Amino acid sequence: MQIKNMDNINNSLVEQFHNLNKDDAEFLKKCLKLVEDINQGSSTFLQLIEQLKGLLIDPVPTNREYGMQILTQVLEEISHNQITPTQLHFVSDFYAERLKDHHQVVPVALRGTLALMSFNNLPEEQVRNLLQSIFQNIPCQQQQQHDRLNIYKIFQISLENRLRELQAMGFDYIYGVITALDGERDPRNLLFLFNWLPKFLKRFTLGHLSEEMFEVLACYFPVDFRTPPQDPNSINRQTLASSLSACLCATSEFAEYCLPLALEKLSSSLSIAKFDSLDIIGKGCDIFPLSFYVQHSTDIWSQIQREVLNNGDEELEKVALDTFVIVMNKLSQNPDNVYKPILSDIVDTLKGNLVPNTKLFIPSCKMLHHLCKSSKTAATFVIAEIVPLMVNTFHITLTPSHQILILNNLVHFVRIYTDIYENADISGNLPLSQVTCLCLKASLENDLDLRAGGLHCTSIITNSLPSDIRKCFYENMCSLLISEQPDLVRFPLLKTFKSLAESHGDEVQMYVLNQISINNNGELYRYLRSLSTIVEMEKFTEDILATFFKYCQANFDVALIGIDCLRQLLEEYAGNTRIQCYLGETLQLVPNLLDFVLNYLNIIDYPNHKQLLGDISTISKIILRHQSGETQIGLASKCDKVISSYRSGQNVGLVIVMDGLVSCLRRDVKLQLYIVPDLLDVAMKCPYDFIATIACQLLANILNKNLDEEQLENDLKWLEECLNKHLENDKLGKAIHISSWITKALLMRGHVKGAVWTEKLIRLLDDHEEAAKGFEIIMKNCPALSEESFCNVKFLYRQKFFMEITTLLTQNYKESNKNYLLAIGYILKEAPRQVFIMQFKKIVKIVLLCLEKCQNGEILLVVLERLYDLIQSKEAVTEEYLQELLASFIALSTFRSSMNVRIKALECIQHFAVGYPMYKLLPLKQDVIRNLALCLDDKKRLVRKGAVEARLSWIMLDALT
Amino acid sequence: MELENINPSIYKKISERPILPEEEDNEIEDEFDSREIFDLIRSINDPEHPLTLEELHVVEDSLIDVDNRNNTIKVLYTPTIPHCSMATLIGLSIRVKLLRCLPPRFKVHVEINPGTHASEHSVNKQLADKERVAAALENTHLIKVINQCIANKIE
Repeated sequence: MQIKNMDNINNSLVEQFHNLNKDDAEFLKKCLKLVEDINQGSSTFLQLIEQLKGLLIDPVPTNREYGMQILTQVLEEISHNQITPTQLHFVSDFYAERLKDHHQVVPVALRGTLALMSFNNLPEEQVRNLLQSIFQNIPCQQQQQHDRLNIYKIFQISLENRLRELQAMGFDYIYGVITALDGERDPRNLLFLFNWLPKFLKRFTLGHLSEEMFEVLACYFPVDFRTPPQDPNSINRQTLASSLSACLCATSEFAEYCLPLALEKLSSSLSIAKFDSLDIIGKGCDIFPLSFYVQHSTDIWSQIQREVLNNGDEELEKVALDTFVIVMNKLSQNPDNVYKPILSDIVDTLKGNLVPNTKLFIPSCKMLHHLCKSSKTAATFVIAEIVPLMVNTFHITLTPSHQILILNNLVHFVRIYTDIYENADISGNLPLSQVTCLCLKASLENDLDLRAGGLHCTSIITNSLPSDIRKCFYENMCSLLISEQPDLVRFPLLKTFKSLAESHGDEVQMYVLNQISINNNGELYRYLRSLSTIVEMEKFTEDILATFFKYCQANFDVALIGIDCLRQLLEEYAGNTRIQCYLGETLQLVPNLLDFVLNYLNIIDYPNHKQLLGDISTISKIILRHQSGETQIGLASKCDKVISSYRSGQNVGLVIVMDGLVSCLRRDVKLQLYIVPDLLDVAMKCPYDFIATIACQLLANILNKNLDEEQLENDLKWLEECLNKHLENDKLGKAIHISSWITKALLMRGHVKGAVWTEKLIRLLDDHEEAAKGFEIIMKNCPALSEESFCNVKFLYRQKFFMEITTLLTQNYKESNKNYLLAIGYILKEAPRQVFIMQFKKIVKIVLLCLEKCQNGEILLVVLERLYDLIQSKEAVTEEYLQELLASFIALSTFRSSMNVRIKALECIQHFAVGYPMYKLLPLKQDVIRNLALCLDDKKRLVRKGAVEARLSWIMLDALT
Repeated sequence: MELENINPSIYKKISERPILPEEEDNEIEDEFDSREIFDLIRSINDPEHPLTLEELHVVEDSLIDVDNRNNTIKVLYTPTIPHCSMATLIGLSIRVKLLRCLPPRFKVHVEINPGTHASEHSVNKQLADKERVAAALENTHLIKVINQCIANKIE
């Protein structure tokens, strides 16, 4: 009865799985159910085996495989304590037998073996049993990729969990592994192996099998592997190569084979072979015995030398030099009697190349520098041998450019020496001390290039200058800083000055700053400009700013210079709030400057003092921008004073000062006086365009920031009336100009009236060319109307305006209306890049018309520049209209009245030749080349230059190289 | 390949031609001059070294002669060593580059600077022979090397 019952259960289990494919989700679910039953105790593992018995010993391989599938799935999922060691023993025996079974059964048997290996309570002898069975019965490379991977995983897991048993197996295990992986070709498996093998190699002594193991790996070197496009595994050559090199350098037993292999491959002409060889030569330094490196030192050195000296590839040169440093560092572990001869060999070879006008000078110097970096001994040795030689060469060389080259390289030695000894003091090293003298000597030469070179070199090593040399520099600085020099010298001079101030601040204060005496305004200017370079250093900031302040308060002519320099200083350090606060709060700079202006009101006039007024305005803006509302309110009374003095004297220069004060006020800071009528008056009547534009900007700024809606409405109504009066008379241009600025102010804050004013501008465009320029004003980013000046800037207002206005112009364009083409040009001039690309297809027709019909050189140039920008970055939209665009560029390449248009058109043509699909370009090639031949004889040289470049690019399009 | 001249002397490049105000004026005509021709060929690469002909002093401004009225240009070049086997190749590169970059009205002569090469005359003869130059340019290997020499690197 019981037996019958068992049979029933048996049958039911087999029936449950009947007709179920092993890849089915249902299959997996059923297996998991079995595992759950066992884990919960409702059945046992033994019972399961009993139930599966029929399948597991079925004479048909397919059925056996099926049974194994179920059992293996259970083994993979079951909790490990559900199976006793004795049961494991039998199961393992069974699996070891199955590994000999029919080929159809083997894959699942391997999976089961992998599952068994992860059981911690697997009996010791069974580890050996299973592995032996694999080694003896399964020819690994004849299995499928996934099964091979399972075999490797079995090796991996056994190495992790069962190291003791494996070590007991000795060479059998090693030999088994070598045989299994010999000939593997799949990159996924290889990557797995390369990542695992270092662990394996580190734990086993290979003994007589080391050469065999190495050969199995060496056949992959250098890795030659190209990833197919859209490869899902994302394995690339680089990962394979670097993991392989880790394997090759994993054990010191490989040293005798590895270095010769690397050196052989390094001499090949294949660049990846060179990179990989250098990589293993460098990596090997960590593990291979020193003696092997000594043995191959000459070879390594000469090969690396060859790579560096005769090479055009910068990256390879860098890797070669880095490897050189690593190897030489390794060799420095030798006793001196071995190490020194190697060093002297290298140095002697390179010495011969140190003639500054030859090709090998720079690479040889590079090698020597890197040699110095490798060890302290090397640094001392090389410097003692080479530096005196180069110093001598410096003295006998007559060409300044060569002297500079030598000096640059000498200074590099100083830097390396101080880095490696971690000590800036070089007084103990005589040759290097001479280098500092050379720097001083060079910086006092008459030849400008040499002087500049000398100063530049000095600035790099100011930390290491001995005190007597520094003293000489200080003395010279006192006169050099304030005397007139070409920029070529001035720039490195200031760099040295700054560098000295950083390293020896007190000395600079005492011997330079305290000693300088100024005799005229030119000297003053240069003195203040010099001070600007070190103002950021905390030690000097306050003193220097006080000095500037003092000069700004001095008599009129001196103050002009002081204020000019102060403006430059503030612009240079626009991000430095410490400087702004000190000037603004502590020194009360802005009110003082206003007092200065009001005091000298009878002298100051526009345009004679345009610079001064502009400087004061800029300074005020920078300082006000960072001030709080309360501080600004404090200043507002001063503003009113300026305004009233403008009203009484009509000195238009004061408009500039007013702009500086008012345009950066916060929105809630209100002025007592109402200046809109004054500004309109200036904008309409002022004969100076510069002032009129400032008035317009300020007007727009005030309208934009006005918080009082009612007042704004009134202002707008009043302005409109005033402007309408002028639209008929000769002031039309100015009126359009002003109304463009007002439109901009409204559009920026997203005001409802913006649309009304825009429409008005478009209506004006029908009859008046001047209106086209208005669109430029609206599109242009203007610092006077920015968030920095607390203006109301709606997000993406320019983009929105661009979209709307270009759509409108494209729709309404008529043959008769040339002004639309102008307007498009002005809009494009300032259009944001991204939105231009987005809108490109919609407006391309009118843009092409503009290129064809417009005769205005300025506009054509603007449009060409915008298109050039898109072509240069190979935007997809340009590819679509390649033919049309190219045709209009070719037409413009002979545009008579502007050479700049011709040049730009040629540049566009040139950039079309690169980065576009060849099949689109080739049909056009002959045509382009023929047309460009005309431009080669253009009357302007610069155009010819552009034509040459464009034509060559097109000729080289499909040329063999 | 072994280099014939391992460590050649390098000379400083001359600075870029300054742009004069009259060159920026659309109305004034700029005539071809020797410096303009020099600027065309100075950047040609040496077949052996990653250096330009200018850096090796193979071509020099002073060895170029332009006669605008008669539409002729004469370029003399100096091989780095008297036995340089690359002399013809360099000459060809100069010729091809000028062929592509000058208006067709000019007749261009490219010759070796007298006394600077062992087989000066035969090289000159080869370079002057239109048929031979044309034949050389049909040779795919040769045109490849020449294209590499005159390819202007796009920065």
